[in-house]
Amino acid sequence: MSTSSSIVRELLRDRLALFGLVVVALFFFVAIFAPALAPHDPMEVLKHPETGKAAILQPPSRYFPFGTTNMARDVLSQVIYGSRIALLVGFTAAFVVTFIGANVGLIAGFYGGWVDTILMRIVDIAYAIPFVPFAILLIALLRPSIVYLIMIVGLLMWRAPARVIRAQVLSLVQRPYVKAARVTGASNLRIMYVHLMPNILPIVLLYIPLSVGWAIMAEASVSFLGFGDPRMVSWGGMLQSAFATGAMRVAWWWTLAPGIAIVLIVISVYFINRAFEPIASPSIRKE
Amino acid sequence: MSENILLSTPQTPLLSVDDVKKWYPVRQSMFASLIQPDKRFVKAIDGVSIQLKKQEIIGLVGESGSGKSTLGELVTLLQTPTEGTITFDGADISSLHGDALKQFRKRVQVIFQDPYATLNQRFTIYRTVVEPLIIHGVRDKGERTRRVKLALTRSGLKPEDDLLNAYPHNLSGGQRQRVSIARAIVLEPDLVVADEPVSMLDVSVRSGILNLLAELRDTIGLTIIFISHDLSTVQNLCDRIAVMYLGRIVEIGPVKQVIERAFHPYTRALLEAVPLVDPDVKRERTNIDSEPPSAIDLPPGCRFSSRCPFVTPECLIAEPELVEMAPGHYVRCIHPRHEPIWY
Repeated sequence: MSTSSSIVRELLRDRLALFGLVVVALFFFVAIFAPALAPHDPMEVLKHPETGKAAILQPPSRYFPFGTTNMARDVLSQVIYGSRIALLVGFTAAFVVTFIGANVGLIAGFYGGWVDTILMRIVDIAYAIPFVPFAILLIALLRPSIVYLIMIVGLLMWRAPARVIRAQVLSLVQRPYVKAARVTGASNLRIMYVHLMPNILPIVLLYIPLSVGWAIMAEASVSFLGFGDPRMVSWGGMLQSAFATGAMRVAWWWTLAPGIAIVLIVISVYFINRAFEPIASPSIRKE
Repeated sequence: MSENILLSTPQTPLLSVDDVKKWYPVRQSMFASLIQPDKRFVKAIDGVSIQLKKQEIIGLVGESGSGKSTLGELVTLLQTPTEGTITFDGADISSLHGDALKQFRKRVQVIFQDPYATLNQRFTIYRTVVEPLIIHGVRDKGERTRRVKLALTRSGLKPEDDLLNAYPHNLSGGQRQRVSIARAIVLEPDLVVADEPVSMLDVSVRSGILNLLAELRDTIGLTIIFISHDLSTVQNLCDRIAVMYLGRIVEIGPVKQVIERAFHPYTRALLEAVPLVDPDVKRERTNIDSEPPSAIDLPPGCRFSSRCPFVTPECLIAEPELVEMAPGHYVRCIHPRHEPIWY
């Protein structure tokens, strides 16, 4: 039984995780083929095909399945294009978060002593910073851009995997097989990345879906507050426009579609994450 | 240092431990250090000298906290001694670095107690045994596979693909311990420290592992330091026994001598604690109190005095030296016992 095959098997056995995988796969498909799938350009001002007038705040209909915005833009097309931002931010940030978190945790737990102390105090500081105000501040200082947003998520959220992985490594380095490797002459780097990494990989993987969820929520929150990238359509940005124009009270369709999209993808990654837990800690594995 | 001369064997030793100490500082609160300004130490190893010749198997016995495992870690450079020198094949190992250190690593290996934690759960058996070869730069894949299979065969396993691709959890405790022996011998080392290799195994597989170690001494010329808390596993395997108590050797000698004519009350207590097959035999045991004293606050004089049934006021004056009672048989006691041992 290898690590990867057991993970796949575990994921497929859990129905909710399977649902999550299907939804995420579907969103990936939509994001990749957005130009082909979207009926309109998301920023195009549309005319109602029957009346010929600008299709402002049209409820869902044959022509506009998810309705239109106050600028006569198609909500469906915006949701489709919005999935690109969500997935891009979600997965890139998740990669940054787990990459930094895993390495910091590994180094702190392996070396211990003052290295551990310094790294863990930085984690404490990162935990003390509230995410949204920090993001707003930095974006106000720099400029609204998803690259900065990804960096901000990565800069702050690595704290959680770092702390958990450090705790795991602290116990792993005491194992005789680490001593055996040292006696054989393995270097510190080799012990960390060849001997210990495979053992913490399940926990590292646990944090990927988790941080995808965080990052998508973070992007939506920051965009909703009006600090999103103005050149791109994102779900949080859509909610923000609906709120700012006051159309939220009448045009329920304008907030419903992006709202459901956010909920759906975040729930899906959490379902996947849930299935990872027994893999990461086999003691809670059923059977 | 006088001890070294006493304990030396005629042949040049492979390993020589000279008056080695390993003290761990005790962390104190600031308040405690005001009251008691002297730094306190846990004296895990407190002056041990021992020499091993090639292909010798020496048994280190003692209860938990006697320092036997610490001595094993010092010899394998998992820890460095606070004082004293350890010489391996003529070179002081504390000064080794770079290539010389790597060469030393190649020649000294360890077998650990716990057959479950000793193998990396995420490594296949092949991966586990090949790792030392990769670290020591054996590039040729065919050569590696050949040596892995040889090591597994020597350890009493059949190196078929099923085994090579298996993970530790697919194997029994005895098989895992054989894999860990294969990992230790794949580099063809000179010295192996076996730290309680059988104490977590079923009695039924113990003798198999012990015989294997004895065999490896003959076939590939291993020198073995066999650490155990159980005298019964030591007596058939070892050439010599060193009994440790609170960081010092209290009795050392040829295995037959020590088992049959132990002079130290502590050794005798250990021997008489070995269970007998016949439940009807009555024996007078040397009874000693439950726990050894703390290795921080040692009793004055002989460190066994606080538990010794034969203690006299003289015992508390100074710690006795090792005295040769019979050829090669040394005892650290001023009242060595001569009456027969009850088995």
